[in-house]
Amino acid sequence: MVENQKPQIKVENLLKKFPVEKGFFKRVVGHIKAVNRLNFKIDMGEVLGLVGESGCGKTTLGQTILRAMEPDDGKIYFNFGNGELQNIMEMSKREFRSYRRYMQMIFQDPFSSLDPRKTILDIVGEPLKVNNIARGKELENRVREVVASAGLNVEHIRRFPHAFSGGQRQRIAIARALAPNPRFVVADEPVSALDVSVRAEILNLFKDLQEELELTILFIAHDLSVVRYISDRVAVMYVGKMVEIAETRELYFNPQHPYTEVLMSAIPVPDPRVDKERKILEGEVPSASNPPAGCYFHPRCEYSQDICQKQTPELEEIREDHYAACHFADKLTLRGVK
Amino acid sequence: MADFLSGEEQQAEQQEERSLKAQIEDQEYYTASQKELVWQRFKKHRLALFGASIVFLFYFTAIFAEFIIPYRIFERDRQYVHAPPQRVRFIDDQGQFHLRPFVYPLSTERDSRTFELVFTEDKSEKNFLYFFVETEESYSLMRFFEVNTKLFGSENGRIFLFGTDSLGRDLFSRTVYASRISVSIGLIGVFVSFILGCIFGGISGYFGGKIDVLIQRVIEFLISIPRIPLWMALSASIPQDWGPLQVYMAITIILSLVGWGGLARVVRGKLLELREEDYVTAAKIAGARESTIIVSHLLPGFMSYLIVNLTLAIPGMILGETALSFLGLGLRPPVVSWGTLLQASQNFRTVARYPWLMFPGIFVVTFVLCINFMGDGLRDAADPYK
Amino acid sequence: MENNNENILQVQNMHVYFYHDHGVLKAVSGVNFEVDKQKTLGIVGESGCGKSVTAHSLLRIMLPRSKMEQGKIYLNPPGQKEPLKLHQMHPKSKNIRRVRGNLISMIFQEPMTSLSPVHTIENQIKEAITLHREKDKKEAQKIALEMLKKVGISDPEQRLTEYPHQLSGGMRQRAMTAMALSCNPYILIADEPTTALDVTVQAQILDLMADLQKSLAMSIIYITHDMGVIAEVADEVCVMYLGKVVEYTDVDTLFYNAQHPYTQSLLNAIPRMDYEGRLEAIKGRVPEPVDLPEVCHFYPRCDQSIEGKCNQEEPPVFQTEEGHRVKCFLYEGGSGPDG
Repeated sequence: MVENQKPQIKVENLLKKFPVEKGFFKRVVGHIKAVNRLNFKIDMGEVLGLVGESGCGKTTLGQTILRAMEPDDGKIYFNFGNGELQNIMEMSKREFRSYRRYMQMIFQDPFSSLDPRKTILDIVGEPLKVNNIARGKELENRVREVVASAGLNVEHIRRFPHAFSGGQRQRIAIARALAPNPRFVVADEPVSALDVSVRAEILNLFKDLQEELELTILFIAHDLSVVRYISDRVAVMYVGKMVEIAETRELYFNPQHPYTEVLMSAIPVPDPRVDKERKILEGEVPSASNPPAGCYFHPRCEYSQDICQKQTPELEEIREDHYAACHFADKLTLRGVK
Repeated sequence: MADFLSGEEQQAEQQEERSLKAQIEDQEYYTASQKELVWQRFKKHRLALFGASIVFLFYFTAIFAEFIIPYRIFERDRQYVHAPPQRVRFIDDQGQFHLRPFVYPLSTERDSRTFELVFTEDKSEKNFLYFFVETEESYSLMRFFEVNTKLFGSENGRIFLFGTDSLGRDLFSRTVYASRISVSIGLIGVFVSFILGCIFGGISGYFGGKIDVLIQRVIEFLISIPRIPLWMALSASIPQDWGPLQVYMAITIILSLVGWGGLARVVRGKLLELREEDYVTAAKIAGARESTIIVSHLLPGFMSYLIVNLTLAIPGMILGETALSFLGLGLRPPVVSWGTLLQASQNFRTVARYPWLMFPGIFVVTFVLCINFMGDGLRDAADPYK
Repeated sequence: MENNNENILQVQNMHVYFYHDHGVLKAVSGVNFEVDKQKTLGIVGESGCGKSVTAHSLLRIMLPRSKMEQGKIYLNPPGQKEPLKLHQMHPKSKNIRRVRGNLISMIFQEPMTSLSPVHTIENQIKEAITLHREKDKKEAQKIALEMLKKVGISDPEQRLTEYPHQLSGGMRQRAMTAMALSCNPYILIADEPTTALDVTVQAQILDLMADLQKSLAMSIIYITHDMGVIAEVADEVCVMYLGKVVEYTDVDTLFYNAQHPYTQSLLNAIPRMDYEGRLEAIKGRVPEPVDLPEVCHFYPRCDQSIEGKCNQEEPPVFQTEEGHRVKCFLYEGGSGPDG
């Protein structure tokens, strides 16, 4: 699928935990491991979809790999274009600031992500200005350029965000992320807040820009059909852990983890003639501050056995480029989407 | 021309014109900055607009007090002790209309039994009011300009719009002049609170952690102390021999020391809220420095809320000063403030007999109400993006 | 359309307008539909199409500044000769309160807004029961427990004593469903009940609703923007655009023979598992819904529009086949777009 198989970003042992506080003086009584020692890589020009249910840590992962939140442990290697991988965790905050332009983000809520007091010119121009990439007339020209490529009218750059609809605001957010010519973009649920007809437009825009600019994207979403449409590979998260990563078709049609199987069967199919039988998950998502022993999924897993309660399975390569964290991954025959 | 167009065409043309107009208006709306949007919304709030104009009138009179008052504030007139307010009339006793307003002069008599002065209107004469009258001696306006024109006066006899006090001083002049101290104490007090609130609230919200907990507990402690006893305790420590200006400053600082807690909380809360906004994260990811983020995103974000809260804190300051001075703990005569003037109406007998001594109280109530109206309007308009 | 025994609910020419400073917003304008007994009617549309206002209006819940200008709502409870005329009931009257929660119930997208945070689940369900059914407290408690079991809440005795914030999103939605169904309503209105939930939880709730519909023999009006969900739950579907029903048919026809251009574009705009090609976005955007002219509202975005017709007058509703109504000039004279 992607010719250039060099990794753009490689994550090792990434950990982000949040303290659980209690009482008058906010004593720390425990930790929620929102991102629990993850290892993965994303190749250059690849779109990795990241799916999982709310609270599984996918948003935290997106923010920690950009160091928008400081990780507690782990290494993040990034290719800044010179062909070698540099560990951005070794850089001081100050040093890292000048590299931020290469890794941008697009947020879910197009209303909260644009400062209402700034014009489009200021918003899209901000990354150019703070990084001293362009100034004055030059900056305005670059802003016009990206605004146009995001499908907006360049005459509107003096307007404020309140003049735009949700879909147009998301285009502005995309223009801002692309203005400093980044190599990597984290898109955190960029279409979840949009209506169906607008969603298609923005997805198409994403696809076009990604191909045109050869961007590497981490696409976070809970909507599995959206991820299916946009991603080259897909990773599935459950309670802070990655349970499966594989090439998109492979993951959807040939899942190797029981949780993925349940997810796939839960997707509502826009076709009334499709057989509606599905796997219904029992119980609830365990709390990340106090996960069950062994495999986190075992209390809800229909294939669970003794070993699952004792030993936490690691992410292992089942087939070429297909990783799953399940003791029985290669033994089970699971059902994908119909 | 119109005759050649069919009805439908005319309609279409009108519609086009209308949509063009709407487009132009939209254009303005789309490129309207926050300030313009806030003003647009504030304008719609009638009561707030009314309040704001009265408040500005108050500040205006405070600034030009010397010009507006007809008499000097310490000017006594033995003849008129506790004189009642005179009514300004346009229609005289005979029912005749006069374009120029006038008052009937007061004639005094001493009650033979109680030996009190009794005032009656002498209807045989009329004291006409003249505007922009020349005075015999010049006075200094705002300490800089030597002026010898007053806003109004009469040619013969005196005019007491609000009556006089126990020493025969004109209450209108005193009340208007007193507003200078009373309304400015609010502004200065709020300014000091603002600085304290910004510093502590900013530290609290920005650094968080232990410092935040400490500051929050201190604020809670400050807020939990009953106000009046705290004021009393603090103002009791002002040395008796301090001059009026020193006392004034001391009172302001006392008021703001007690008042900064609420503002610090607002600053902290808003800061915490704004830090969570995606656009702040976006700025960080774009590579902006912390200082840039604070100046270009955080400060403008909560400035409007701060202004609202400052406005709403002014009445507290003014009422505080009035209460302290009324109790004799704040400013003391000969300084004139609304509070010291109201001291004269402390006992019931005086109020019953000379109700006009309450006029400064009406000023206090009006001003506080109007500033609250204005604050409400500002609060509603402060966030135009909802 | 007299008291036809097939339908439990008939809505005729309903208009609900909002009066704003800057104009009139016709949130619902001329909506017609029927709900069959023990069937599910899906109402689908994008945000602002009036689907939620329609649902509220059925129960005569008027949102601030809104007014129902016209329309008839007939409810035909089984065993009753005369239909109940809901449109004649005052929104605050005793009569309509007897209908709400009793004959017609409603569940919402965010259960926290309709569950009281200061009462236990038990008290809230009990209140709903004692309000409409002549039961004493003991019986009410028994029914409450039964309902929780029915909606699949684990450990129901424990849950009864808990407060809404102690439950997860999915559990809350179940608790609200239990409350809504505690009086055995004839119709359940579900206003985007799974939109805020995760897919696996959504699957649980959809499954539950299908089971309950069978066991309680009720009709459901299911409001959503998700075509996938519609395909699973609905028997009949109304597609709404800017306050109007543009297409009304059974679910199979909707997905295999959609006729209104808007429905067709909507179906082409959703990503599908088995389709790798490009999505077809609908051009333009939904216009501001205030003071719209009386023409086809979809005209500016439509690629099959007829110049001089669609932008001049409002298209009437055409019946293209049995039970298939389309509000589009392409079907004038009962023929398709090609002849």
